[in-house]
Amino acid sequence: MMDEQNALINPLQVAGMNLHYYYYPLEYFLDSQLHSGCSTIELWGGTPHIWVDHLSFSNLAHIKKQTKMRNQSIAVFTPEYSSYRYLLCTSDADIHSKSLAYYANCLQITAELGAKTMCINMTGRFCDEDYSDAWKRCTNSVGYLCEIACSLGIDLAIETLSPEQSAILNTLEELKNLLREVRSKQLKVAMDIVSISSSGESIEQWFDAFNEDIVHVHFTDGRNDGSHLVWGDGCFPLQRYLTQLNIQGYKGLISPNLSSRKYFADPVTADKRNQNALNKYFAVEREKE
Amino acid sequence: MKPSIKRSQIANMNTHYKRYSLDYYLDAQQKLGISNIALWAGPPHFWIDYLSYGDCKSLKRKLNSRGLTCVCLCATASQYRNQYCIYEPEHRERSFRYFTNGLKVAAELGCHSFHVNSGWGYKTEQRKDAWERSKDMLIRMADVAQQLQIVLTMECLRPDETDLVVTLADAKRMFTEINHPVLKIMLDTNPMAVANETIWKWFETFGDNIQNTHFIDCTPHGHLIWGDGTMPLENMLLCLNHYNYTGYLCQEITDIRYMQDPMAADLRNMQTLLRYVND
Repeated sequence: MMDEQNALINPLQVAGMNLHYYYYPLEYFLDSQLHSGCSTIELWGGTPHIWVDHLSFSNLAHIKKQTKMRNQSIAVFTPEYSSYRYLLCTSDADIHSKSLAYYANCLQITAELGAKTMCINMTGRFCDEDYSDAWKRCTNSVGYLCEIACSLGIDLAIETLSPEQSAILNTLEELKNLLREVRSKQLKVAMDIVSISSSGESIEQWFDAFNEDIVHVHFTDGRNDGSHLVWGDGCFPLQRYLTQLNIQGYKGLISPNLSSRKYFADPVTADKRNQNALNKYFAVEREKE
Repeated sequence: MKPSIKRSQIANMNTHYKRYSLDYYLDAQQKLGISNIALWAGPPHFWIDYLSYGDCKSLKRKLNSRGLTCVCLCATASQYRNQYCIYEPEHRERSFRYFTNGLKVAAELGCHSFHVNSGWGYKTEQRKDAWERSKDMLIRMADVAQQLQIVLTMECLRPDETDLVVTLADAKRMFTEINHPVLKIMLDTNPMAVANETIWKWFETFGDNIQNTHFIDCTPHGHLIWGDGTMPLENMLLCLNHYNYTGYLCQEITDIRYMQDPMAADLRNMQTLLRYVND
């Protein structure tokens, strides 16, 4: 029997993510999710699992077939951004137009995979560049992508990044401004626990600001150095964070964007350890006395 | 006798300047009195894809106006996109065309050499299969490099990156099996230290086939500036002198601690290296 106050999340809210399966084939990742009972996927859009650039993308029939035969669904598509190849805030006009085309392709992929949400962030401002010009490119780019998202019926969820990862859109205040300036019903919010922690913000503050616009959560342990860790490998208070999500009535997905290279060698064990840490807080049917 | 190097052998890189513009990096090198750079041609500083590449003429103008020469080039191979041993045939052809474009950039800039590595296979496959695929790619690359009169310098990776070319013995085997006139060796002091090898052993094995180096400090982990790690700088320079090495000492600095103020890191690094400069 589960102590009711520990019943903080529904196991169906936990999605599997393929970022740390970089050294393994897509099928291996999907099999491991199948074995652990995870049927909802957040697909990270990096090679070797998929190819996307500004001109084209992989034939998606293979991915669709592989997920379908395992009764899995892709709920969120998250384009690869950490190579800093495509930059929505860049001052380089050529790379900016390539970046818009890349993210437009990613929206197309999101729709074709049957996912409801695409999750992105903002990069491309250099530390030696003017902030306000980069901000204009940020709002213009997001506005452009929202129009495409609208025509496809997809939510565009934006997350903040820590200052180690980007020199723009690091804080709740900036994200509030972005939502206010772009004003699109497609524009939603993704909350990355590591990023909000590095900005000294709380889950409560984020729900106060965005409430039900928060449609996705990247939920990992951390140690305020930008790293995304398996729960137990960092110093974040898991139970307190889950309690806060629970109090806010969050019903969306939480997923492990485990970008730390130390999990790349054995991602299955990383997932298992992560799941074991979360299991304690799964809501289960109360047994009849 | 105290070892020595020439100032022009110090080839600074832009790997730790990714949060700053390319112009900022180039200005910093001019201020530091550097004449040769080893460009890491990756985003966000320079665009290469499998169909096209950035404006080399404009880049050359930027270099010339600051008295800089780009002596060797690395087209990034660890960015979730292109690498030398990728499994899927469609990704592999794109990777080949991408690296070929990297070679063309190197040729247009007048570089002496282009860095390559073995790449990596899936952890679910046999090492020998990945090895053959890597070899095949490097041979194709070497043929293109030969036409463009560029030397390929192959470096080792760390065991967490690949199980192909990691150690001196792996490098020797790949080098011997490929046996191509333009395939040479890049000595990277970080994987060397991780594998518990010495620079003396590397030069004893490869001699003047070592045509480039990533010559950096480490603990053995990290790609650090000189003084922040535990490597025996003076002894390593003695080895370079002993073997009459006249190539470059590329400063491949990647640790996150230097990203916020890369020029301060370069300055501190130069202060250490300049003690051994004799011209």
